[in-house]
Amino acid sequence: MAYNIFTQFVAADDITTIRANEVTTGLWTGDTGSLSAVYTSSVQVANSGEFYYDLYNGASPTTSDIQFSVAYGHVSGGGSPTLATNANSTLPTQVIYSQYRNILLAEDVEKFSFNGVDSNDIYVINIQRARLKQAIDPGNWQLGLSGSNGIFTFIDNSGLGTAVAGNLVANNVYEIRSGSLTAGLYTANTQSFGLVFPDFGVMILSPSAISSSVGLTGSNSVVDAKTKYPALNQPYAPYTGSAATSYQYQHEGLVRSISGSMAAGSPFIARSAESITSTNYFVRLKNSNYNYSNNPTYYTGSNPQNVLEPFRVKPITYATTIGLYNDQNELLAVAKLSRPVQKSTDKEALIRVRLDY
Amino acid sequence: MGYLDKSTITVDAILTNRGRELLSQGTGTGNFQITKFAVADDEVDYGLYNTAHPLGSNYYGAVIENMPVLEATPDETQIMRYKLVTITGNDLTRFGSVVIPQIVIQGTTLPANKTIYLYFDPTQGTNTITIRPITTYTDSSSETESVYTLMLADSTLASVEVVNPATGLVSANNRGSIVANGLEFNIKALNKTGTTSVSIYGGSSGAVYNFTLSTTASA
Repeated sequence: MAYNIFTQFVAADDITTIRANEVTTGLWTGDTGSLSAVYTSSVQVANSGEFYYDLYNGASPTTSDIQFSVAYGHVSGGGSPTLATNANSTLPTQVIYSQYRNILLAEDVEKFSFNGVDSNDIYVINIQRARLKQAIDPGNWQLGLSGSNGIFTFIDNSGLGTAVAGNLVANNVYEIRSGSLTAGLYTANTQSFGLVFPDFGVMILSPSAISSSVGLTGSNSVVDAKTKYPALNQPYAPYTGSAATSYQYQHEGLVRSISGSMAAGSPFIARSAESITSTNYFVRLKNSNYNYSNNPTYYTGSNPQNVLEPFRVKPITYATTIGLYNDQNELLAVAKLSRPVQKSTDKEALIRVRLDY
Repeated sequence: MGYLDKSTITVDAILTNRGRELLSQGTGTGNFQITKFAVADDEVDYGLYNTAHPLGSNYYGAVIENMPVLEATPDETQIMRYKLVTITGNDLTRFGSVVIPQIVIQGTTLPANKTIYLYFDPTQGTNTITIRPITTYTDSSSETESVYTLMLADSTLASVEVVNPATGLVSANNRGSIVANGLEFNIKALNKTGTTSVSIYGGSSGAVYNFTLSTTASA
């Protein structure tokens, strides 16, 4: 049979080397880049609020998506009930600190360090996996925080081209500094307020630096933090003592600071970055190939099925679709042309099919 | 920023459901490995090629060439239905003129509505049909292709077994359809009433044969 519908690719000639393109989009639901309001879920807070808060983009958790989570960690469990005071304590602040230390820091490194000083506690902002895609786009995010000193915005220092080195698992970690996307780094204050781990989608903030600069004032003492300032919606620094008898929800203060900043017109702006692998397949429709069609409008009669009269002397077809197959004749990818391409014995076509995955 | 090379048409491909399924298993041998291509013209109506166009021969295909083309669908059972075919050598002349082959199911005569009924209650009728395709050119000329591809859209209604070569039952893909390659197939009704479509493609000719499969308990 001299009928053939398939053409084999010759790898060296027809398939180009795979390369990765970085694609960025808005980080938040719907690929939007700016998040101007966040909401908590009473159900989530009741279930796991002592560890972290999930923050949604809508008031109803059933119809909105988690955007990111906020947590607080303390190296020795400060702010959590000890087992001596509460035998059922789950030591949430110690769990959080240990968890992120084990994931983000090199082996045997005990504490996170900001400005060269070890920190006993951390705030954590953890971007939801579905939002993140592959990584936070370094240099293209801005976090606003509000406090008694006003609204402050923070960005990373990736624009300087120098990643934080040493004691870290990842190699593209940047300092979180005062600044904005429009004005860049605030040169009068080179203090580090934390670290961003783009590949993990995690920001680790220094509670002491944030508290003193932004003005997270007051202590929640040993009172349940989420009920301490219910009316004032006031951000406050976490309680780090060991006298707690109940869970303190230390991260509540940072949530209120973020929420307050958004309410004042300073949203959380961020983009996600993703490496897309592209392969180009060069589809060569030579002059003698693909000049007839199985399209039922291409022939007449039933047995035999004769080609329509206009195409008997000079066969012409119109290609609209390219299918990419494996050896088992399984259609793995498909591309549509923007308009039908005429094919005949005196016309050839070269079509580059790009497949991203 | 440079100018695009317009001597090459560039198009973006999307993965089909089967492609996505295989890609998730890796790009090694037997998984996601693109080795060949085919070309189709699913939405073209060649009846619109107008040799009586008032502006002359340059405009015979103008209507087709300017038609909008639909975006691709990821369902591999619903796209690439009508493939362009390369015909060379003796096949260009041996029937007097070029013939587009067709598939016939040996030993089975389909009713006019091209619907095959299977009964999953075997006391009511047959629950299995054997599909043995053959490619015909004229009344007196036919041959078996090296492989045929059978697509069953709804695997909840029937199973597909490849009996030649005897490779056994074919699993459904993650979208619930079955794609089987072989020369002879058994389609057996499962215990569910419904109607689905079956397509058979010639692996070399691209000839297509479509029929409807209806499964029911009793007549």
